Amino acid sequence: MSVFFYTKKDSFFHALDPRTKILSSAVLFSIAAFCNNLYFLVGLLCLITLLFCVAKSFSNISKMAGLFGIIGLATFILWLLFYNGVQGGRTIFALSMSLRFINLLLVGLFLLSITSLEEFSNGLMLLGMPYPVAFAFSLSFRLVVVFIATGFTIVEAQKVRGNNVQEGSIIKRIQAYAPLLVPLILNAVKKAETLTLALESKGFSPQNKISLKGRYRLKVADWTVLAICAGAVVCRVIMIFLAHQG
Amino acid sequence: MITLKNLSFKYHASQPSVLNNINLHISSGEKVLIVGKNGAGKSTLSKTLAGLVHGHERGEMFGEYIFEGSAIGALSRKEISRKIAVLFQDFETQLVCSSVKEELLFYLMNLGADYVEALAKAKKTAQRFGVNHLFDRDIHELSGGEKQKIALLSLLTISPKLLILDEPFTDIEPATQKLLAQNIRSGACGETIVLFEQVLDYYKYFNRIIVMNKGAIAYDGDEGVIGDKSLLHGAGLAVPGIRGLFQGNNFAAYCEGLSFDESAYNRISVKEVHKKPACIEVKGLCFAYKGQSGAGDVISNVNLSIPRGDFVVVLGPNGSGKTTLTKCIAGILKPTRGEVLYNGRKVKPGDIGYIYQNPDNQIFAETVYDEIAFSLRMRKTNETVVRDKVNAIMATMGLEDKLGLDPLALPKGDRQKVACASILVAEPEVIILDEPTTGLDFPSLLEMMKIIKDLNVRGKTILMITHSMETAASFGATALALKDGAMTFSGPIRDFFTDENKLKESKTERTEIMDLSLKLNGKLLLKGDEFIRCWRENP
Repeated sequence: MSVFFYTKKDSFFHALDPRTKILSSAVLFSIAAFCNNLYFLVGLLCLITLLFCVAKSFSNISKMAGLFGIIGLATFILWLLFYNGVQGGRTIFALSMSLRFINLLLVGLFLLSITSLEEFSNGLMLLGMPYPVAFAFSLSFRLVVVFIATGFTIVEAQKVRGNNVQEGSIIKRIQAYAPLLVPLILNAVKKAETLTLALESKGFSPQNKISLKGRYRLKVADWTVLAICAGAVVCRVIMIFLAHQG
Repeated sequence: MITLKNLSFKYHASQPSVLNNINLHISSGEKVLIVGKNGAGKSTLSKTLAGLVHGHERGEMFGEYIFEGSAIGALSRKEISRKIAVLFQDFETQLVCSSVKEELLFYLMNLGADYVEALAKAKKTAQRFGVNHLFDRDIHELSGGEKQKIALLSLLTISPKLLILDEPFTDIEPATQKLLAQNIRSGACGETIVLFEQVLDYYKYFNRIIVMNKGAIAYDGDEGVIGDKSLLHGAGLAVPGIRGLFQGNNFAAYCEGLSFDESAYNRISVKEVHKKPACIEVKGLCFAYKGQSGAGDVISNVNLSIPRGDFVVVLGPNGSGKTTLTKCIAGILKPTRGEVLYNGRKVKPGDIGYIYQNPDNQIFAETVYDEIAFSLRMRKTNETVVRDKVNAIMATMGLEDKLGLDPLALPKGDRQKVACASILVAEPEVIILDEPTTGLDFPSLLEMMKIIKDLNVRGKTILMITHSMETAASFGATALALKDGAMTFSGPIRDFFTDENKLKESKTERTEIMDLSLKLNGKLLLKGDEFIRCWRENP
């Protein structure tokens, strides 16, 4: 069972410094967020898909295709039905909004596909975030994995007793989930109770300063990606400026 | 190094003390084994020694704890964690990173080590304890035993002055248990070690033994306590290995006065031929977890036939695929290739009873009765039948007096029984148990195993995963060994324990009784009962 998108791969993007990964994703995210042009958004979608292929992580898109498809369709329908701001090209606009949302989700998915939890928190620390905040990020994700794994075990244990949560009508399924909640909540409470002690037993303190010296180094590939991102930002600003002028 | 003066602790003012007037002095370099049954106060004492109770746990503490000349309360958390490392009984809580590498770096880096230095130490520790193959793995992909090893090794990276281990062997394979015990004795795990256990199996590796009973120290001295059966039984402890067979300590002299009864041995060692038909057939079974790094088959091409009424013990190193295989057999996991047949047809969930290691993963009802009745009610069984069946199983499990109690408020041994009863009530013909005795003290373990054996005698087929060789040898008839997902042995348990290569491959060990019987005349005896039947006092 894999509950995360990150898997170790030997790819150009996996090998990047976590700072580069976070910054370039932020740039890609902002480009996707501030664009309404359908052709540009289609181009961006193709680019992100290409990035997934280079990162050998296309399987993550397949994994999420159903969910992203539903979100995209719902977004399209909602904009189409309830937005009156654009005269004439409402369908095109709704399509752009839908595509914009999918692009944003894909950028997030791409970052998760190429960055491990610790890389992410270390990257945040290197970018100036305090250690306790950055660690809290990675720990919360780690706990999500623990709870999901516990949830799977609980579902299995119930299945063996004849309570199959994956069968029957929606109401029956909801009823079947009730016995799962007690052990899951109790597990979560137990974990929360012992977490502070567990962390302290391993020397963790919010006042700790973590030295990442020697761990990461910006290489030529990183500088190249950062330069491309800077170029993209400059181009985007010029495009916006020109659009306002014209 | 450590001095406890009249130390008492209670979690709530209205509750009795968990620790009662403990007076203890542990010097630097000592290797101390503290034993006691469930509820003896071991975990509370371990956390107290680790400085984690003071100022943290809600409760009242009386008396003094002096560590290296200073009151523990006067030391900062940083100072304490630099010198004292503690492994919790619930070791999974202490795994706070997503990968083994990060876990082994975490403690060191939080104590201020830079990355290069920490990485070198982490790699060295992994190498020393033979887990370098796990170094790049994700934590969530590891088996329970592998997680326990990593939780322990993450503490060893800092070379603590005092290492406190609360039941560190529960999920680890026997060969590694022994390796760790040897490292404890040699000082490779740390200068001063205090290990808490429910069993005395590894007493030889310690120079001091403390027996705890009802929150107090009942014995503090050397291994001489092993000969004191009344003290150990009074504290709810088993006399370890061969010592349980003899009175006093001089068992070598006792053995000289024994003679071997060949005919008794022949009766014992005759191979049982199962004439009953197979109730489970595994054909070309392969299984792989989707999306797991280093994707390969976790189970590869297992072919197996289990006759009705057999008692199979599933053995093998941590991460060898024992749990995965048994889940496939129970129909919980769908094989990637191959099939599992139950009475000639494809197995489906619910056909086979599966009892999980942790009872808390399934208990949810408000009363013991409702918990046990749940699986029958899910099968839409008539309420009169439910009542009869639940009452019958409660009587079998000795739970009659707990009918209306909250199952979650029961002690671990009883919770395990409730979990077991809630599966058995549906009367499965085959029952799979995943390490059912983990965390149980000796009296609870005996009770649980007696119930399982009774079920087997009454015709149920049992498959039991265990790391306890005593339990495997005492109750199993057939051994099934796995290594890296492949089946390496399937046959009579006596044959398994005779085969040196199979033992090595599956990282299992013979028990003291087996070793002694082989040393005496080369004939393997599996348990104390067999030893008594074959070796008799000279007339």
